[in-house]
Amino acid sequence: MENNTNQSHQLLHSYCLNPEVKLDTQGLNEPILVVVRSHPFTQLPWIFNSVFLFILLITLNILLFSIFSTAQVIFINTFSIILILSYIWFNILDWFFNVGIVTNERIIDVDFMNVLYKEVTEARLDKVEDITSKSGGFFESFFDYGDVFIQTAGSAVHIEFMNISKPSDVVRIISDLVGK
Amino acid sequence: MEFKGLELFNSQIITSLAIKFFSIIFSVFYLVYTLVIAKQTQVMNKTLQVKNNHVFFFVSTAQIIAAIILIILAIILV
Repeated sequence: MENNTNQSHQLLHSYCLNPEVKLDTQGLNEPILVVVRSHPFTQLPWIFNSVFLFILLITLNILLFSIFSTAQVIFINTFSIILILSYIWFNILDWFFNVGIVTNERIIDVDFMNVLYKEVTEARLDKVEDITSKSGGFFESFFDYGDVFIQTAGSAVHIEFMNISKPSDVVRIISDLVGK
Repeated sequence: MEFKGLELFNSQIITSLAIKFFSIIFSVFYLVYTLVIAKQTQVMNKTLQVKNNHVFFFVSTAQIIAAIILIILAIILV
């Protein structure tokens, strides 16, 4: 919270430097340097799905009026709209809270699989052995997103940041921290 | 003729009751879902604390209220 110098949020908060974020396991002298999320481009499928569902609902209304009473149609519409909004909210939560965090001491991968299952993987910087960035394909190259794999010494812990923005920048920052 | 009219009336009532029953059931399921999501949002907010955490709490609460409104609508309207 105290480190506000050079604070920046880019690509809809998918790549944040020195953000105003706190972790529940954060140490007192452990500022968060980088927070990464999936690139906004990778979120397009559920956005398109939501738009499609709204269009489908509008189209289905023509049929609904010939089958159900007005009161029933009002209920079906209300219920459907709320369900679609819930679907959107679910995906926003899924995107926002699945983060990769780099502090001056650790690398932390916070995963909420389908919102319901929580998995927090962390590795100390002095245990990091190998950092790999993978970015291949037309869209990955064009929008600058990809995966970062971090391997640690002597344990089975491997941290993966999937579809994150600016993977090469993240690798550079981690390499600089590991080298210190 | 009277018998056929009564049969049609009965089938309409049965269909209407079935729709009402399923509307209430689905609304209750949705309420359970919103409660689970609200609880999980609290866990998420605790894990990662950001400046505008209250937005997540607000939307989760709005979802629960919407689910309660749906149940009321299912009972009264359908």
